[in-house]
Amino acid sequence: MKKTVLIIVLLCACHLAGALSITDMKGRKISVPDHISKVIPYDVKTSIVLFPCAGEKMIARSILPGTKSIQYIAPRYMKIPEIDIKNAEEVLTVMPDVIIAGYYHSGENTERYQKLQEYLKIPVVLIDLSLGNLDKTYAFLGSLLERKAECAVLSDYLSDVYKRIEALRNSKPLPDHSVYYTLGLGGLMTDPSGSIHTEVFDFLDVPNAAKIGIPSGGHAKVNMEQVMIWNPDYIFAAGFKAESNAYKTILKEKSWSGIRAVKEGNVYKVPCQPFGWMDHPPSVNRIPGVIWLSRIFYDMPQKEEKGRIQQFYKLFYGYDLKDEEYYSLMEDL
Amino acid sequence: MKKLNYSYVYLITLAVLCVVNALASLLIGRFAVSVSDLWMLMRSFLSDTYEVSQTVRTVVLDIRLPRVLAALLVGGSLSLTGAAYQGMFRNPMVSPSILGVSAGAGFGASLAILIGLGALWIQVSSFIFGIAAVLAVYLISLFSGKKQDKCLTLVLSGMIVTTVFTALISLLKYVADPYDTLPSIVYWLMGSLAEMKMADLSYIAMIALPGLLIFMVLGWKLDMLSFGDNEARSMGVNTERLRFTLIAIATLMTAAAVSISGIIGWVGLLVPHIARMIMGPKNSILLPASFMIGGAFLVFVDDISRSVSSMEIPLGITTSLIGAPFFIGILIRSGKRNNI
Repeated sequence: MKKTVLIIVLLCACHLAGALSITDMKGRKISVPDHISKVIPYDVKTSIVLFPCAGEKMIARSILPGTKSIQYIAPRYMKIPEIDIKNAEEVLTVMPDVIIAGYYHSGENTERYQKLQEYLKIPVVLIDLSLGNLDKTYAFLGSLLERKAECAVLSDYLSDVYKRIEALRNSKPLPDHSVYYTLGLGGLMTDPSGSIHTEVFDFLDVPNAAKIGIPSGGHAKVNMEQVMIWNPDYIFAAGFKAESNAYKTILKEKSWSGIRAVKEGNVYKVPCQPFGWMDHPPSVNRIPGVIWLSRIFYDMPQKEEKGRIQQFYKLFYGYDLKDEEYYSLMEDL
Repeated sequence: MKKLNYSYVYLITLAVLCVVNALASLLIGRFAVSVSDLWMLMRSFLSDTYEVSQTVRTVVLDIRLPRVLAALLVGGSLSLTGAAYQGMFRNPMVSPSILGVSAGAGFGASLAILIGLGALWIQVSSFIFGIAAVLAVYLISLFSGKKQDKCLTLVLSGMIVTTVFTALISLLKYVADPYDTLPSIVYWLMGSLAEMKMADLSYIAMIALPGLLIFMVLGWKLDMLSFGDNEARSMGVNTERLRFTLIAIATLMTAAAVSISGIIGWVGLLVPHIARMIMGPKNSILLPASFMIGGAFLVFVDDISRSVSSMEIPLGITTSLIGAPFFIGILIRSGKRNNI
């Protein structure tokens, strides 16, 4: 009995000695182990961020329900076991050193992460997932997970994309155009400017046609007449499964035929493999979307666009995206 | 005889009001369409000399007209079947979804959305599962023995099947992709006519209109059924066969309505009471009156759903929010009248 107590005390002492006090990106002070070797992401958004920089430390990944089979990502990603963070016992069974969770803006309420940390007694580290700060996020992860070299490559890639986009944005003023983003069947679910689901457009200063309040929890439903009044110049239709994409409906239905975007042939289907380019989920997977939109709105040469997107797939998904695969991603059904 | 004539006058007045309401609804919406635009559009059908802008034509004919007609047929079907069920089960709290059709249809639609099927298949799946749910209820009630009260076993089996399908809907919602599939399912379940097209209408019209006729013809038999099975049998009605026929037609009508509109509560429960207050309990008059009042009510509610805000308000919400005070008002008024 005495021996057991001694061992426990020693273990605790070791644990305490190896603890490091850090400040996460949200400014929370937390104590994490000196060397982090087991990480689990809080959700699929952070799974995507962690995979390229610390794939081998990820002992589990999160998946989006209903999206089991995904293409264009390294097979080793699919081999990482799945976990549902809501299942506390499962998390305690794998016993990670830290849980990585994301947030989007400094005012965001992150109480649930704090509660989870207190409940599981596992540190929850918050990283910034907003579109313009992802280079800083990788720099932070590099030092947290002792993966500085790997993260530097990713961080440099992102800084370079940001710099290029800044230059493009300054080179030409955008005409008075507006975009309508829609997802799901029917084309009437949308998100306004300011929503994390349409941050890609805000990031590029492209005006969003939907002038509505930001819907809490999900997307807003609007009606056809309202879309006619907004009369967007561009439509981007997203949907994970082919049939749940409104693209075909928008081109085919008579009620859509009067919309400027349809008349001028500016209806686009948003690529969604392995993750959406605009959203689905809102994480680092939106960078190809940003590059794609830079071509559409700021005349980035297509060759450059293709190169940057292929490089993104290589660095972040560990996948060599061949030319024909790039074209099949971009093709309009 | 004189009373009957009055009833027909009422019915015709209701029909006229329905048409006026529908026409007025063609003027309501987010997009501005003036009375003269509508007038010109109607005249343009008769003569080529009248020119109407393509946008007005699209708004009125391709967006508003299908919605208004769909609201008429869906509201009508739900109210008529609600009135028929209330008579048949001799229970004022019964609505068309009592035998599980809405839950079944909701499950069918959710499943189709989850698999990623197109709009047509969502309707088909919803329709089939709506019917399957009622079939299951009917079979359970058949096997539950002859000694039991038939209406009670039907209602109880309806509750069981509804519970099962509601749980299955929750399960599908739980495993659905939260970024696009889940909101689609949630919006479908809240009810909406926003994506209505002319092509969808022919299918519901083919079921709703013959259904209305059959119910009008069978109305007098339903009157007898509401006295109780024994009385009806003594008057020479084959109650079992009649009940089966009525349930079958009502199920087809409700399943067709729900499959194009999603789940719209209240109408089927509330409107029959209003119709009964105005027209009395005679089914051959009550049923068509319910159909028209229900249709007009849903057209009115849908006008609000699609026009008050730039976001579409799901029909399930507006029907309840508008229906409840409306119903309270009618209850209070009829209470006062009875006191005098």
